[in-house]
Amino acid sequence: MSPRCPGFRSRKHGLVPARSAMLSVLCALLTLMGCAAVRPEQRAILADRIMQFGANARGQAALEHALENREGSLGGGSVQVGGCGCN
Amino acid sequence: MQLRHLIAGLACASVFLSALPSRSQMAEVDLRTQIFHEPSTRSKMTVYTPEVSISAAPSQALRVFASYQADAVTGASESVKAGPLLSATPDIVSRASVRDFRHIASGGFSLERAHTRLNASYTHGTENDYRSNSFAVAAGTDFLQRNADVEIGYSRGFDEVCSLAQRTLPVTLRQGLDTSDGCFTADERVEALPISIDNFRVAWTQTWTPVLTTQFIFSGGLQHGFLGNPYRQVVIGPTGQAAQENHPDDRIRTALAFRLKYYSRLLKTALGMFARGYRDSWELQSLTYELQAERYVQPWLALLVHGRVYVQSGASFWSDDYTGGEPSTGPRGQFWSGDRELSPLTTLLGGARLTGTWRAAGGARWAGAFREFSVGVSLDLLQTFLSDFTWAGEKPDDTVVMLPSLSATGSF
Repeated sequence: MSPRCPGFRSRKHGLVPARSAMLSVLCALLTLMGCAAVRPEQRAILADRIMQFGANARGQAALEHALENREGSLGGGSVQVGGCGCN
Repeated sequence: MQLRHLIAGLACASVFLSALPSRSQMAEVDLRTQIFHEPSTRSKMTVYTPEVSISAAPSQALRVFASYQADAVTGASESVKAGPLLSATPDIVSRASVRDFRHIASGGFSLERAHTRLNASYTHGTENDYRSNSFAVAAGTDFLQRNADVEIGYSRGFDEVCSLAQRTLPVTLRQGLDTSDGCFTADERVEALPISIDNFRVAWTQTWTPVLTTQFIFSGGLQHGFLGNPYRQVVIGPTGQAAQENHPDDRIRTALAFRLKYYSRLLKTALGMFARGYRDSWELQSLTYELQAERYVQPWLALLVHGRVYVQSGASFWSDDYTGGEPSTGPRGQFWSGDRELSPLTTLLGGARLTGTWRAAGGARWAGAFREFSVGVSLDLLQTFLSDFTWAGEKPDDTVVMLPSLSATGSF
């Protein structure tokens, strides 16, 4: 069953356009999530290693560690742990 | 001594875990190494990073794991950063050889039930001038017939960095560390400065169709303590007066990332996309884009190729030259940095990876021992384009990095 969106209040009740736009996107995503129903027998391709986000997690972590020593940003991957190594 | 105990503990855990397979679901050993090499005539910075990881599942719900990683660093780095105004001053930029060895040992467990999982781990890292202790926890659950998955994670680091004992001096008079000798001992010439690191992460993975899956990740971090390089000095006066790098004590970092994987039946290829926006309290902003494609060139052999573009702005206090009389209350007057990672730059990364996997059918063992065995070899090239960074007016030549790696994983 798809999730139901809450009713929107009008702007005179204090809901700013940006917030209502975010709520609209959230509702659309929740609705789409409910619609997406891939059955177990349809998961053969998704289960393959080349379709997994974390299939090479250790190799990706090593590459991100090297990149962090040449770039000023981090995040969007695993939670960072484990020392400096910042030479 | 603490590290020796930890390594001895890991060795004991290895022996114990390797004895478990007969009673357990599966055990896995992973060996890998990565080399970071800058083919520059000046720095020749090379880092060898061997790693061994083991894990085993004593029961269906429990998996325990342990790993050890080392970084062996050799090369040379510039210890004094100067801008173009001092290009005529001989030897204003000095170079010091770097030789260091970093050890990281980690251990933890994961619990998994029908739709939920919980991971916890502890990591200890040590090098001549830096120590870290951190723990990480993560919990996740799937729902909507396993089509949606949400995971939250948190880690806390208690780190220490070695620096000269000069906290009572004004920041303009503080000098860079010249050697790591005496660090983390009773030597009164140096002191250990604390750094606390908090990171959190929320990830939402969604399967949309039998060939399309996406992931949104929001991550953040808070660092507090001495966040500069204790060795590096920056020229802050027109006559060549240099002081230890001085960064703000706090840094709040946030990133929002999106990943997508789509399998093209026409091309028989898994296509991937990654995009990330990043911003921190030092006003450094960046965008990252990556595309990748992976397919089986043989039933047992997968080839991945990928390309990545990264663009960042500089930190609010970044300057290539701090001798220009910036207002002392402004960001460039209060703080100074010789860290090229805080300057505006662009990086391009390209690479390929080959992964060969052999699986034994039924209850058989491949090569008499393995249920599954895989070998991976990869090569990545990283090129950095520095918009506003010089060594006394001279463009650095150490902007290319080669990153070959080799891995072998066996499941028993």
